[in-house]
Amino acid sequence: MIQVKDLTFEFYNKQLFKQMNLLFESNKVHTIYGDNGIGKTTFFQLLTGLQRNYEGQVLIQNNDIYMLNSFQLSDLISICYASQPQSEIFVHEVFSFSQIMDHDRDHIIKLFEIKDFMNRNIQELSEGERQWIFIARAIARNTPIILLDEPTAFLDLSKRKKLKEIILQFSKNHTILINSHDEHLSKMPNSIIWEIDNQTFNQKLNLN
Amino acid sequence: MLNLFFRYNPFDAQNYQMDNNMLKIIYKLRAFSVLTAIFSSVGLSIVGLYLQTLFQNPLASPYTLGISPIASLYTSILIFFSSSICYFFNVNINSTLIFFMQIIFSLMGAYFMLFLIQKIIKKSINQSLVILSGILIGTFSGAIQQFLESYMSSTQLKQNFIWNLGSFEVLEFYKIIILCTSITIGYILLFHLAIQANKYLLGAQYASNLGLNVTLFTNQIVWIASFLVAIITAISGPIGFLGLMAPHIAKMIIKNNRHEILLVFTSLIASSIALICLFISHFEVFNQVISINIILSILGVPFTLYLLFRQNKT
Repeated sequence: MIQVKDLTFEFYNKQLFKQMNLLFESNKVHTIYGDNGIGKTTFFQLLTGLQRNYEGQVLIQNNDIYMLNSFQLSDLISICYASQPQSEIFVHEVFSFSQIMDHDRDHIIKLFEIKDFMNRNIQELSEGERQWIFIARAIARNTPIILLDEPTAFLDLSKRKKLKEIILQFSKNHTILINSHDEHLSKMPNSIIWEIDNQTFNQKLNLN
Repeated sequence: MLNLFFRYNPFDAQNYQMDNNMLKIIYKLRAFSVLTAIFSSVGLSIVGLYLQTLFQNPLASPYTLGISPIASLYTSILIFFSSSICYFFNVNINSTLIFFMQIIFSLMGAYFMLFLIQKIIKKSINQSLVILSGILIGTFSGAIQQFLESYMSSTQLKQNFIWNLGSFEVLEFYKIIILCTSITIGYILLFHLAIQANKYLLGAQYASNLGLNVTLFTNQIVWIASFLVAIITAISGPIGFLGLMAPHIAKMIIKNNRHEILLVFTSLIASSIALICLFISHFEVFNQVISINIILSILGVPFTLYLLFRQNKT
């Protein structure tokens, strides 16, 4: 559960959020829509503790994130960013460096069908494959809250479909927040749709 | 073989007319230079490894980022002014004091350079620009050094010239002690940072999501790197390419990016390269001791070119 109280945030002299009050319920998929530059990614950075000069309160599982240290925060939240690193490391190292438990990792490898990738270098992979690996990484960390920033941007149609199924499966015991422009992701049961407008989040009716 | 390595052949003592005492001294000097070679190369290569991780650039190293050149510039400035001060104030500064001043000056130079690079990185994300500016600043410091050289006396000039060529021949025991202890301390500190460095390989953003304090980590690496490079530069001169080559050879051989493992392999490879260079530098064919930097550049430049082309292929 993520609770936002009276959040006001300015980014490079631009007012992004003003007096915002929000509640993201647990064990649901929250899909966030909004125009470019309206603050979707910045909101994720705020949740992961990269942006700290905000006013108001952000509570994750009833813990104020301002009070948590970086390790406690990293146990609560995991993220897949929109752009992936290009350093010369192997796919299996992406998992081991993230300190993911072995059984979590094996489960995710089966689910995402990435067994053949494990011994390849992430520099050799295509943009879509790399994104797929890092989505798998974010979900494998098995934190109560999972943030996905534009997860379907580089994925092909079959992978998008599969991602939808996986998200549905994991939303039973994880809170998943997705930034997207992809209409596909909104058509999910168990999902809540938000739209950022007028410096705040507005809940929209689910079409299903 | 033995004949090539030991220019003063112990079995051929008649030619050199040496007694036991002299042999002892020569063996001591050999042991000193081997120790210096091992420790300086280990220090430079592990710094290179962590700088490559920190700047996420395969071409980052103490030399290409301009840390060693700036440290050597500061030392040249010291050499230039120390004897002028001696001359004008008619005082005698002993060599130990000058050596410690040298360490302080090269520390200042190294830290100044790393600070500058951090500023550059904040301005621009373009990685090749960082390397380019490092090389440009290196050239700039070389020019100032040559400017100073044109005003130096002939003894100063020779002192500066020889020091700039880089050499593992160290005569004083206390320098070896300083080198060994500081490299060991640096090695232990870097080993403690290994797991954090592994996380950092996923990029700064992902690393901070894994609980890594990125600013603290960067500062720690910058301090340790400048400390080690400064000590090594003060003792064995600006030694290029070793910090660039050794981590890459290690990564190519073991195909693993865990810093705990890489650290060990990099230092093994670096010390063997340094010992080979030391070995070559004492070949009797050359009729004199060839500087380490000459051999390293002859070996290192083709390797760096190979790396550049390999990178551009993908």
